[in-house]
Amino acid sequence: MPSLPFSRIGTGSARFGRLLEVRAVLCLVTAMLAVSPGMAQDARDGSLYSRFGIGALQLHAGGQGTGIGHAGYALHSLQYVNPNNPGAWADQVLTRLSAGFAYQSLVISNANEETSRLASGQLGGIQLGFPLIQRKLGVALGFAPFSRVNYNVANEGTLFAGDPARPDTVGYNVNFFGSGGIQQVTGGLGYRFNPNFSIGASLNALFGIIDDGRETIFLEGPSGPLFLDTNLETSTRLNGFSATFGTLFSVQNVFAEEDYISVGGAFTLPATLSAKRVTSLGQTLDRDTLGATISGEIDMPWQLGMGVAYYPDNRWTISAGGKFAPWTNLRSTIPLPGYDSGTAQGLSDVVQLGTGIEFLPAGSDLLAAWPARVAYRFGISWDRAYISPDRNMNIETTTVSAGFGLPTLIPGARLDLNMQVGMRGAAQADLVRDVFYRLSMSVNIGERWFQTPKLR
Amino acid sequence: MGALLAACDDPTNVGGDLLGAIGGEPVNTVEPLSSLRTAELKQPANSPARVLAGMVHDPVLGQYEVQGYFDITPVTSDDFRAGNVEAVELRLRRTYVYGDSTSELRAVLREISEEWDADDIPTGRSFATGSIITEFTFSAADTLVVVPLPDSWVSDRDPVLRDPDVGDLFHGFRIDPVEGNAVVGFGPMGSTLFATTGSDSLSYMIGKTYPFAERSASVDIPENRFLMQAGIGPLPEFLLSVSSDIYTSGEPFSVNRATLTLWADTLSFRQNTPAHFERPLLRTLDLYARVSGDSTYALIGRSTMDNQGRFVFEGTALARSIGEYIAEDIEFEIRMPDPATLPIALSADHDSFYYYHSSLNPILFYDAGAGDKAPSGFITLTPIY
Repeated sequence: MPSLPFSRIGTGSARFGRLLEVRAVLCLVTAMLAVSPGMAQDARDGSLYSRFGIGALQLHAGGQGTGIGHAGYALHSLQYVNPNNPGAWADQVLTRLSAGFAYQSLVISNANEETSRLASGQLGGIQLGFPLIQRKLGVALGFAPFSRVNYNVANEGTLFAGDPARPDTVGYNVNFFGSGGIQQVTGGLGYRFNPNFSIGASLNALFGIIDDGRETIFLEGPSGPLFLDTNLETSTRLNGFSATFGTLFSVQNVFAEEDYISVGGAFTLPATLSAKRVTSLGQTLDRDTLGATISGEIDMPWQLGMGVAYYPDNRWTISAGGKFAPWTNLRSTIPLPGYDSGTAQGLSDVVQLGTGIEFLPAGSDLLAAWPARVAYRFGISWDRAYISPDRNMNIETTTVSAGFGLPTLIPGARLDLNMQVGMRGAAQADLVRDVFYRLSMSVNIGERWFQTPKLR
Repeated sequence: MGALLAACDDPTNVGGDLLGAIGGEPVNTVEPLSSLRTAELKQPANSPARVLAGMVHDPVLGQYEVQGYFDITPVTSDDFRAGNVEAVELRLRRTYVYGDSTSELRAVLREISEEWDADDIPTGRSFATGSIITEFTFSAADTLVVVPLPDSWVSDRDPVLRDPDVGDLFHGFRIDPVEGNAVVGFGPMGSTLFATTGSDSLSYMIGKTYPFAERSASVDIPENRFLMQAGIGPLPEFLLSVSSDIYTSGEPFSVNRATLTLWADTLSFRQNTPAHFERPLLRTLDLYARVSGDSTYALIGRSTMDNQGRFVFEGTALARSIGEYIAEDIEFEIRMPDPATLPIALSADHDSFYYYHSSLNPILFYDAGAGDKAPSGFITLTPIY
């Protein structure tokens, strides 16, 4: 594996750098908290497709991978911890911490050309990586959403309100909404056998709560309140484990001197999620549990992701990759929206493909002008969802992304901004088309930890 | 990009079809109520002190005779006790008329000769009295009736009236009607027993009261009607026992609204009211409910008769009660507003609620056999699945 360029932080600047990094993290967290209530209008305001199955699967590729079309399986960088491939965790020099936040604006259209606009925000993911043996054995820990449920739709109606002698009417809304999802905590090791080959493995803990609700709200006039609203909520608690094994193979001087190419892959074992579901009915503060708790299991399939990255020199990164998971093997013993128990009806095997390019004009020159040290990224991604409410049509998503990796005053720290525009589904029959505009931001900090300076 | 990211929260029904038919639509059901049954009327503990007495012939409801029991509130003073009582008179301020407002009434006054308690007295209870003290006449139109008590009674009761324990020794009076065509109510404000000695005078305010009312059914009330009447009773009691499929299917549902409607026959009254005949009605009533087998009722609604003659009981408390207990038989009872449940300050229109229990106000409900005007329940509910 080639020697990758990275900036060295002198011991004299470490204390100053750490102060700034702490400030940077505090600023980012503060900014996230500040924008969350205002920009992220509601945790339910997302795609209606997230209602089905266990929610919409999330693509988490970190600040760099997101900008180049989620094509991250073969990415090899000392600046980022690759969240997709444990095989890339072996080659680490600095302790790296990254955290991201995304804000999304969504326009939903149906076949009648009606539209609704929603906005939501979410934590993108947190990743921590550090070397146990520099450039030989590395550790990574991560937290990222695995699936997400966030939808909100309102049906309107009119009801003959009173007794037959009082023929007045009252309007009502039936709101369907969902929130929550499955989170994934990952922890693992990467080991580098030689500069060309490394492997890694991680244990993934999956857990979360999916809430689906339905409320019938009556739009009473000043004579009210005469009606009690109906609030029905189903809460499903899920947890399970899986493991991922990854490998990364790199070759230098392939097409030109100083170029190199990396090929990576990651295989995730099938997982079984334990599920417990409680359904409750009533007003906000006096909710009654309906019936007994339902328990069951959800079998999720394995997943294989592969990618290739080519580095013509230390300025360019060209990456492509994808993943496959046979989600037609999904089986659940508890009812899931859109899932016919014991069958593959409405299910599809997940395929995701992506490619992208990153250009860093300054290469490894840390003294170049600031614009030259900005990483410019562009990517495109396509994927097919594992479940569709229409048996005859798959739900496909195409995303175009562009982003920047901004150097900061703190050596080793970068601020990644990515913008994505995408389209999901089609406005045909009962289906809808989602057009989403997503702005994601992550901060990526690197510093020497756990190493005692030696007096020379 | 900034403009594209700017979006408002607008969850319209776009995509509703995508979710499929997954419920949440409310539906209405109409449930008949059982026939009205009679429940005993009791004088509530905190009835306002109004003396009701008289006799009247109502062309719709028949003949009534009401004896008015009342006590005095004991007061005394050293100056008053220092001399002998020289004169006593009843000063009665009329505040209520049921019947011919121009009628001349004749009545006699007796002293009650036993201890009695006005709390929760069942109707029809009477108490022992002595001989006639005096007889007096007055017009139902008079706003103040003064009844001087004879010297013999004054001298006889002088020690009692001046005794510090006058409240225990003296049990009050009863007014018995002799003739007339009206029942009148006196007090509670402005009605006193006024006594003078040589050195002082005292006004004993009216204390507890109780009307002993009897109705002789000299006329038949219209068919399929249920008479509820203050002072006499009975109270109407009925059942809600739902029968629609949705209630018996065992599938869960949520009650969003419940309305119980009872129609009142105001036409019979309107067509049979002679000139100068006053017949105040029970216009505001309370609904109480309990699950069959429970010992006590709970207040869950209040309704004022509308201009179509309906009492419509509704509200979230009623909906919540029906939603909670609909699987069981729910018993309802209609009562006059209990003064304890009324706000301290009522508007002039509602002031009469306080005195329903010291009146003869009637209401004639249509019963289960009255077709379109039979009592009914109207329930809006949302099936859960």
